[in-house]
Amino acid sequence: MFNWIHRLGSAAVCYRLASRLIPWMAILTTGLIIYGVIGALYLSPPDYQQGEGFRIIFVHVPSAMLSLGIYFYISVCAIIFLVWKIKVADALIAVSLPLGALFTLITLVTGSLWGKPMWGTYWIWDARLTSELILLFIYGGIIALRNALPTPKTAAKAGAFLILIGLVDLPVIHYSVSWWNTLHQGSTLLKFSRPSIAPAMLQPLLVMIGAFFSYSMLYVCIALRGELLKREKDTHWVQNINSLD
Amino acid sequence: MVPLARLFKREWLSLYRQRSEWLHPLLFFLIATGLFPLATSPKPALLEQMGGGVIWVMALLALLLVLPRLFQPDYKDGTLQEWVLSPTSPRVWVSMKLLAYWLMMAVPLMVLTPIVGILFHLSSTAIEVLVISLVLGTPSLWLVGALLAALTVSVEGKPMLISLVVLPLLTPVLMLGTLSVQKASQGLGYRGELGLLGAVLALALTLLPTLIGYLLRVMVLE
Amino acid sequence: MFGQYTAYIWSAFGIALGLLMFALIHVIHQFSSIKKQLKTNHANKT
Repeated sequence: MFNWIHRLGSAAVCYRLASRLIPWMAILTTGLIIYGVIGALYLSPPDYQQGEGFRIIFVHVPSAMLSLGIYFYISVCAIIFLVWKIKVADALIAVSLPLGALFTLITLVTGSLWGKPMWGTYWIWDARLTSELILLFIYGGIIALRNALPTPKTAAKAGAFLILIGLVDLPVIHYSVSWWNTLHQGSTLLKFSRPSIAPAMLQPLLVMIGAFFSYSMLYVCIALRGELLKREKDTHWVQNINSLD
Repeated sequence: MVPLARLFKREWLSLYRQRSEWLHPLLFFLIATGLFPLATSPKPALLEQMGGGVIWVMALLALLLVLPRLFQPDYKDGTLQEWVLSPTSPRVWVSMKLLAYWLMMAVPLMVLTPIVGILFHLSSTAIEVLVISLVLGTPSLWLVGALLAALTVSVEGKPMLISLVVLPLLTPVLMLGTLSVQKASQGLGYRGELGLLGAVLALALTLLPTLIGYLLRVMVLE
Repeated sequence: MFGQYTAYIWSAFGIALGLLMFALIHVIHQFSSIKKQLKTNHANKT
């Protein structure tokens, strides 16, 4: 098994793997999104407290989970890059940073659109919203730092360090609803007891989470291919790909 | 102890001879804080609510003015490379430098804070808590700021970069500090926030100088 | 169809899925232009 992991350090192997994954991820994403949206908007019943308005949960929660999940996975890539100096890990970071920032933005916007009918305000400076906003700034800072440094090597190293420094925000976001009295509702899914949400609503939610997850894999595969081609354009395998096409 | 004292003396003297390094941000702190009553309203009730937060934010912004010039002059003239390649651990030099800067700039700031606090009609408990929170909080702010200054030491011509990248990381300390002052002026318990500030300071003082030194070595030897 | 929440729900879903679709299209376009540039570089060299 270690051989397989070891081979993933090579850009050519990763390129081939990404190319093979793309059609599957595309089919999976399309299927899950269609089923998820239909389930979210038509099949699931209205909430007894919030009425129809709760349906925004079906885009808000998946993008929130992914905004944190992508940051976590980028941190793992940063550790792999710093410790084992595997350049593909840095390519993954470069490609996934904008996606993570996008999910954070979507979380904030959809959350704000949920807040207006529910709490009467587009925004409130409570612990969870503020820490998610800080996450958006952290993403922006990492992207700015990587673009500012002169050589790709220093940019990759400094970026990796900054990612690990910013990791402290993640537990704050996740536990903010239990550490402070916030307006935002508490954890329903990622806690150690049974989910406190009705099964009829849970199923479309899980489908949408799966849809967003496979979308992320699709996005990363496509973008990674482009990034690897750009970085390795002087190598033999890239030249050969061209002549085959 | 001798190298420590000599390092500190060198940093202190270089700051002492270039007064603009620390004096201008201090003056900025005073002037900018004074803008708030002029721009919003001179009503004492409003100023008392804002006062702690305004002073904290201005202290933070004054720090941001100093950060770009923390390591870059030494990087540009090669001194930083000498330090990194020397046998003394870089964290020694980093701590002495930061200590000199902190004594030269943050301490006058904290001495001026009661005066500015009176201008903002803060109660005496609020001023007391404000100064304590600044004493506990400013070293952490400086350490995290120096961390980012180390990461960006080789960046040319982008003076605002540090400020943008470091602000999200400084907000927790800022919020703890201002929360303690707010609670003090409302008569509630503030020891919790001060305790947390102290905890952050303990973590920062023990872990960050080594990390800053390590990062400087990484960035300089690229 | 969702009563008073209609505008919010549609705009939330629309913004979320629209932005994600836009990002996907952007990254596909980026890949094809990188590929195209590599092709012209290769053709110029041989």
